[in-house]
Amino acid sequence: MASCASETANSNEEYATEVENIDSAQGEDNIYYGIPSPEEMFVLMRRNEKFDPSLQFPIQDVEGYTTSKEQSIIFGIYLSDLAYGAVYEDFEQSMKYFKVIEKLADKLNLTAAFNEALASRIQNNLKTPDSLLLISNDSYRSIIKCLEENDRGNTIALVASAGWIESMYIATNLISTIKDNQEQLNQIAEQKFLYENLMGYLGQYDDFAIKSVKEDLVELGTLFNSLEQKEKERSSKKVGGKLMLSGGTYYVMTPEQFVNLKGIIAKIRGNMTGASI
Amino acid sequence: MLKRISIVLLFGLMICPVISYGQMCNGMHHYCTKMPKFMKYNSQSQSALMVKGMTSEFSLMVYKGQDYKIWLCMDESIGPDLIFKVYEKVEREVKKEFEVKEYEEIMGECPECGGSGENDGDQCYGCEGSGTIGTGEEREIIIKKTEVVKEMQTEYLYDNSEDNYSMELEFAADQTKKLYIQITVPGEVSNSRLKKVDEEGCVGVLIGHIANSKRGF
Repeated sequence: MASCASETANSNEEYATEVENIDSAQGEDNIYYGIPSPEEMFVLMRRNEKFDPSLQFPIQDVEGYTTSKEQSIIFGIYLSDLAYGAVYEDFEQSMKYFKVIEKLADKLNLTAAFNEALASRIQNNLKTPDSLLLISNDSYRSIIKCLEENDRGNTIALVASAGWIESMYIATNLISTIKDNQEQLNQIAEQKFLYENLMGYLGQYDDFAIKSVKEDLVELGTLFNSLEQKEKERSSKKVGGKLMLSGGTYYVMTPEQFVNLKGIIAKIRGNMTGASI
Repeated sequence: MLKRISIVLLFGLMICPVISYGQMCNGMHHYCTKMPKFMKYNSQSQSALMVKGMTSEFSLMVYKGQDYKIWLCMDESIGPDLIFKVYEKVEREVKKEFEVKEYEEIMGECPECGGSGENDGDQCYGCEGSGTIGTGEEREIIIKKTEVVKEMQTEYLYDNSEDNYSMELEFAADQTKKLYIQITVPGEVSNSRLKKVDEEGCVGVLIGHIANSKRGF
């Protein structure tokens, strides 16, 4: 039977405690945190930088990843690599990433996320750029949905953390020139928002695997906190049915801070994918 | 609505056999609407179990260069309206007035002069005019001071109660932002520990995005 199951069955919860559980799942400041998918950042990068397949984590035998932490992390890394390839319309490599992701999904008990309909869409539509991106996005949705419905927020936390580190690794290495390239450096600086949300999300879980990932990410916080904060006047108005939000807080990153960040990201990625997991 | 829940449950039973009742709200947002084909699902979509009178919020990161759309849905038990606000947290410099306790010495009349001499430090000179001298005792005084401090403030950007309680919102930002989506279920806050079925229900917030590009031919 196709499965999309929780790691630990927990079907005897009391109905009356339900509301309290939801409350306690929130962070200290009573706020939930959303983590964008890697594809959104790559769409922005595509406007300025060319595709470099050497930045994707190489496809390798995933049998060596035996613990659920290792599998979740490498799964997040490959999902990000798939999104990168899909945004840049790289059909051949994307097919390979789909295959390895499917294999890992099986290991993580997420086979229902890769059903026959999705497999057939991949086979039939992979040569249409829009479809490639849509299928990549749909498979990401399918995986997250499966995890959400099975209360596997801790797996989402690991997948999202690894996916973000991989997308940051690709993004920081894609920027070929840092001189006179303030716009792109500031684009990387914007990731401070995502970092804050990610740390908030991780903070909801106290298992050992997540704690160790969180510790790995702490160094990034110091760097993000050192960025210069600026403000543009805010406004919000509806134009033709669409709310247009202007201005707000933004961060400025110096070339030195960028080089430092790039190094930290590479180190974390090495820890996540290497023998130290 | 009952039909939707039944479909969700049936689907859940088919592929996710271990879903408990307590997890029913998880992923509810996937069923809010059929998203237009050109839009991509945003993984920051959320679902939660809420009760009447409750306010819950989540943080959403939005990129410049993308158009976003939010759809809200809920169980009939807590409908038909939801109050939905979008806000930003803004760090602002504000003038804060605060009180400081200080102590001052209590002054007494110059003893040698019977209160009519001149005071110079601890000494009293002459017996003309009025003089005072420190008694060695202190009293508490309150001084008001003003200081500029940084404070996080809430700046509301959208409130659906001013938009016919719309359950959809399309928006875009000219720079990457961290927004907060705040949802309130209208009604009385129940003090009962055991929530009644008709006081609670699932709320889903489905978010879609698409890279904004030039429209037209």
